Amino acid sequence: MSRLHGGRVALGTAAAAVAVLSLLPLAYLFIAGFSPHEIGMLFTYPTTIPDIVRTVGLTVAVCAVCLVLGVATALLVVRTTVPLRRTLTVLFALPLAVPGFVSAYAVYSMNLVYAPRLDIVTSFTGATVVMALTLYPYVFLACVVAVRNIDPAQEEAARSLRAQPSAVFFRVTLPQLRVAIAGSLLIIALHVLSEYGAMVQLRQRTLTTTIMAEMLDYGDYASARSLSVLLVSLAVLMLLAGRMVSGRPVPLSVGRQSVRTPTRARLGRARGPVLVLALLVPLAAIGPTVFMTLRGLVMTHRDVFVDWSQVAASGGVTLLYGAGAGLLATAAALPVAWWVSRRPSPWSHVAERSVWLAHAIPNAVLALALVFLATRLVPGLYKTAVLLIIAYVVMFLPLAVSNQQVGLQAAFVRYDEAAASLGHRAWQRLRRVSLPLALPGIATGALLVGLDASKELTATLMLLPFNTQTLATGLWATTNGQSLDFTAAAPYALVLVILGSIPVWLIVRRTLRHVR
Amino acid sequence: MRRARLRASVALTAVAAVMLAGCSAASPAPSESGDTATLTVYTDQHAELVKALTDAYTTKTGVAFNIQNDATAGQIQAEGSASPADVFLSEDPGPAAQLAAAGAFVPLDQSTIDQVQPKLSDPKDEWVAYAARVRVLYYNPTLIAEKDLPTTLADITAPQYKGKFAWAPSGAFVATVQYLISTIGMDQTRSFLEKVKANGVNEQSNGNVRDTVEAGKHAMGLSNHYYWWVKAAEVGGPDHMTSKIYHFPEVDPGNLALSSGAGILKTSKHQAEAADFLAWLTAPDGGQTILADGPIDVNEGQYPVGVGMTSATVGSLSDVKSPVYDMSIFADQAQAQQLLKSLGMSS
Repeated sequence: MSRLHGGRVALGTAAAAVAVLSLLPLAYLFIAGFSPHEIGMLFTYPTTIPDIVRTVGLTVAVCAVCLVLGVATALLVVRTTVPLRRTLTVLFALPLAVPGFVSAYAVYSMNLVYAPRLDIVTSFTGATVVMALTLYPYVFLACVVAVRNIDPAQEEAARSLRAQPSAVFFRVTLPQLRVAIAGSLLIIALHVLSEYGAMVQLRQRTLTTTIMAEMLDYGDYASARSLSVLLVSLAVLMLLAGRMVSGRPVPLSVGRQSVRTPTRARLGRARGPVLVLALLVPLAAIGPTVFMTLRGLVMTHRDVFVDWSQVAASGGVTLLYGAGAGLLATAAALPVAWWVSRRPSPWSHVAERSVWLAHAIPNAVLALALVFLATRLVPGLYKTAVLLIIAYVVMFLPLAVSNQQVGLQAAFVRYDEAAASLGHRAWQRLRRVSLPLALPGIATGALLVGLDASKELTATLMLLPFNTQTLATGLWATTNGQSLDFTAAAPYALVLVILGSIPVWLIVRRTLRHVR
Repeated sequence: MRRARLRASVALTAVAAVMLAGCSAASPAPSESGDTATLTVYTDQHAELVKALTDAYTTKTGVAFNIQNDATAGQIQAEGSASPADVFLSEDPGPAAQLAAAGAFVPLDQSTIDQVQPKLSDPKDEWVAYAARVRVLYYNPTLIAEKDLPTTLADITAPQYKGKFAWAPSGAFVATVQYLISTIGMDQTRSFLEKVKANGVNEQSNGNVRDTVEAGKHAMGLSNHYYWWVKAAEVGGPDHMTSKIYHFPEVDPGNLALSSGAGILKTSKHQAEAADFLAWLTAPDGGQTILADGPIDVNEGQYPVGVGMTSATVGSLSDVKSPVYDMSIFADQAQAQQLLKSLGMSS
C-alpha cells in the first residue's frame, strides 16, 4: 500500500513539474516586464478595442462554424445511411493535414489570381470560413467517437415518450457530446487566438498579429509583452468558458462493449444530394490548397529553380522534429492526464488547466521567452533541436493531455479494480489492462502533437538550429518576396500536405471502426 | 504476446533516445578554436541574398557561417551576453540603428566605412550600409497613364486619386513617416497621413501592394522598388509585368533611400574575423559585386552601395532622387509609431 501511495505522490509531483515547466514561459512576461501604464496607453489608440472585438469575434465565429460543421459531419457518417461513409470520414478529417497559413495563403493567391478586384477571403466572413474549414476536424474526430459511444437506449426512451426528433437531438444527444465538443472547441479557440500567418494573409488584425507587428515591424517588445498580457487574459476567460461548456460529466453508458449499434437515419432518395453537399465541405477546405499547389508545380513561365533535394531534406528534418515532439509530449502529458482523470482534485485540475495557458500566447512570444530562459539557464541547449522540441512540447502539450484523458476514460477504473481482485500487481495492471485500453487516446495525442509541431512556423524561425530548415520555414522563405501566385511555395506545400496526411490517416484509421 | 509488447516499448524508448541524441548531434557546434572561425550571422534580410554573400565569402576564405534568418533585435537583446551572434545584417536601417543606440555594436574600421557612398551608414560609424532599397510608386498602366501620376508624394492625397492607391504600414512606411516628422514636423505629417488613410487602401504589406497593383485591383501603390523585381524575375522578366515602377521626378520623400546595415556585436568572440567579413562585404570587388552583377533571384535588384557601383538590373542609386539625410533618425522611431498608432494606421 505504501508503495502504491509513493507511486501516486511521484505521479502527482511529475504532473506538477510539467505544469510549472509549461507556465515558465509565461513568467517571462513578468520577469522581462510589462507595465500597467503601457496597457493603459494601448487603450488610447483607436485600433485596440476593435482589435480585441475582432479577436473575440473571430474566435467565437470560428468556433460556432466548427461546431455546426463538426457535429453535422460526425452525425452524417455515424448516424445516417449516406453512401461512401468511410471515404467521407477520411475526407472530413483531411483538412487537418493542411497548416492554416498554407491554406490561407492558397485561398488568398487564388482570390488574387482569379478575382483580383474582389475581397472574397480577406473579409471577416471570409477569414472565419477559411479558418473554420481548417479547424473543424478537431470537433469532427472527437464527435465521431462520442456519437458512436452514446447508448441508443436513451434516445429510444426519449422517442417512446413521443419527443420530437429535434428535441431528442438537443436534449438527449447533444448534451452527451458536451465533453467532446468542449475539449475540441477549446483547442480551436486557442488556435484562433494565437494564429499569426493565416490572419496576416486574410488581413485580419488580431491581438496576435498586433503583437507580432510590435516585435517585427516596430521592435517594441515592452508593448508586445503588454499586449500578450491582454491576450493571456482572454485565454483564461476561454479556459473558464470551456469548463462551463463541458459541465459535469454525463454518464455515457455502462461500458464500451455494451453500446449497441445505433439505428441510422434513412436518407432514401436524398442520399445522392446529401453526398454531394457533404463533399463540398472537404472540397472547400482543401480544394484551393491542392489546386494552387498543382498549378504552381506545372506553371512553366517560372525560371526559378526548385531544389528538390533541399525540399526532401527539409521533409526529413520536419519528420524528425515532429516525431520527437510527439514522443516527448506523450511522456510529459501522461502524469498530468493520469492525475486529473484518476485523482480529480482542485490541484490536479489546476495542473491540467495550466498546460493550456501556454497554448494561448503567440508562439513568437513563447519562443522569445524560451530564448531568454534558455540562454540563462541551459545555454548548451540553445539553438539545438532539443530546445526546439521542448518548445513544441510546451506549445502542443494540451493536445496530448486532452486525448490521453479520453483514452484513460475508456480504460475504466473498475477494469483495473477487477484485475487487482485477481491478484495482479499495479505495474502488471497498468501494462496489461489500462495502457492497452488507453493506447488509442495516447496515440492520437502523440500524432496530433507531431502534426502540429510539423506545421509550426513562428517559434521554429527563432529556435531552429543554425543552417537547417523545416518544410514550414522553407515555405515561409519563399513568401519572402510575397509571391502572387504560390509557385515557389508549391513544392514545400506538396510535401507538407503529404507528410501531414500520414498522422491524419493514422488517426482516422482508428476512427473508421466507428463508422462501419 | 507479452514479450512482443515489451519489446515494442523498449524499441520505442530506444528510438526516442537515438532521435534526441541525433538531434543534438545534428546541430553544428560553433567552433571555438581551429584555423578558421565560424561566424554567426543574425539577419532579417532576404535569405537568398545572405546565403549568396556568405557562400561567396566561404569560397574565398574558408570561413564558415551559422545563419539565423528572420532574426530580430529583440532576439539578440533577449539572449543578452550569451548571444551567439557575431554580425547583424539588417534589411531596413531601423533594427541596425536601434541596436547601435542600445550600445550593442562596436565601432567599425574607417576603411570599411569609406568604401561606401557617404550618408548611407551610421554617422557614428557603428554600422555600415551594404545594400539599399528605395521607396517607389508602382502603377498599373491599364488603369492610369504615366503622365497622370502625382509628381510628389504629397500629391498622392489629391482628390483625383481618391480610392485609387494602395499603401502598407510596413517598416519602410514607418521610416518614411519618421523622416517626414524630422523634416516637415509633426502637424504636417499628421495631416498628410490622415489624408492617406482617408484616400488610400491599406493593403497591409509591401508585397500585397505590388500584387494588388499588378493584378489591377489598384491603379497605384506605395512600396519598395525590389518587390517588383522579385516578381519580374519569377514571371520571366520585366516584359512579363503589367505594372511599372515610377520614381518621383524631383528630390522627394517618395524616393527615400533606406540602407541595409551591417554591425558587429560587442559580445562577439570573433571580432577580427567579423571585421574582415564586413570589409569584404562593402568592397567593390567583394560583396558589392553580388549586389551589382549577381542574378536577380539572388540580389533581388537591391542597390549596391559601394562608391561608384552600379547595378546591372536597376542602375545606380545616385540616379534615384532621394533626399540626403541622417540615417540615425531611425534609432528611435517612437514618434512615428505613436503617430501611426494614434491614427489607427499601424500594422
